Amino acid sequence: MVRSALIHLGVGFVIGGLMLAHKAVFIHPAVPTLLGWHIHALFFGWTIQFAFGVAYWIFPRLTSWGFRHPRGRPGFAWTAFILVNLGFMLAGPGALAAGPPARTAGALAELLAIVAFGLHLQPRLRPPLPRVGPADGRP
Amino acid sequence: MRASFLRPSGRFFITFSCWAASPSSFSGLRGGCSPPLSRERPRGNEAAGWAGFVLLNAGMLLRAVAEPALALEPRPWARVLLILSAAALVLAGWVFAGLLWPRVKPRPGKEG
Repeated sequence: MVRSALIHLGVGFVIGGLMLAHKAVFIHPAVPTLLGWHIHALFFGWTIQFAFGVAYWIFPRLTSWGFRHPRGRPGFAWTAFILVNLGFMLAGPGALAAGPPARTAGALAELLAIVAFGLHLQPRLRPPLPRVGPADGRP
Repeated sequence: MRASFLRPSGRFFITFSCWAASPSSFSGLRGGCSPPLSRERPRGNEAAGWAGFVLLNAGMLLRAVAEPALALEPRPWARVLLILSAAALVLAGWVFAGLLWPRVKPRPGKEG
C-alpha cells in the first residue's frame, strides 16, 4: 500500500508539474483537463493510501485477542487497497476517456475503500495487551 | 487579469502544499517515522533528502513569486521561474519517493 502510494505521489507530481509548466508555455490543449487526475492521484492515491498503509502497519496486532490473523481482518484492507486504486483509475485516467460517469464511479469506489478500511481497522481500536514474560520486557 | 491564485482552490493548493513542504511533514515522515534502511545508514542518503527538502521549498517559493507575476503581467522571467518551479517540485517529489521506497519493509523480527 505504501509503495503504491509512492507511485501515485510520483505520478501526481508529474501531472502537477506539467500543469504548472503549461501556465508558462503552451504544451497541449488537454493539459488543463488533467486537474482531476492530479487531485485524485495526490489526495486519494497518495495521502489516503499512505495513511492506510501506515495505519495497517502501526495499529495494535490482535494475536492475543483470539484472531487468527495478527491484523484481524486483512480481507477488508485488501478490498480497500483494490477499491482505492480502482477508484483512482476510474476518476483519473478513466474520466479523461469516459467523462463524468467514470469520475462518479471512481469517487464512489474511493469512498467505499474508506468504508472498507474502517471495517478492517475497527477491531484493532483497542490497547495492546500487556506482554507475558520477565520484568525486563523480554517475552 | 487572471488572478487564479486568489481563488479558493488556489489558496487551498498553496496551504496544502506549504504544509507538505514543511520540515515536520517532509523530513519527519521520511527521516523519523519510516523503518531504518540499515544500521550504518538508517536514513539512506541524507544529502539527497536535504536536496529534496530544499527543492520542494524552493519550488513553492518560486511558484509563489512567478504565478501571481504571470497572472498580473506575462513577462519572460516569470515564465522561466514558473518552469523552474515546476521542475523543482517534480524533482522533489521523485527524490522523496525514491528515498522512501527502499525503507518500506518490515522491521527485523516484527513480521506479521
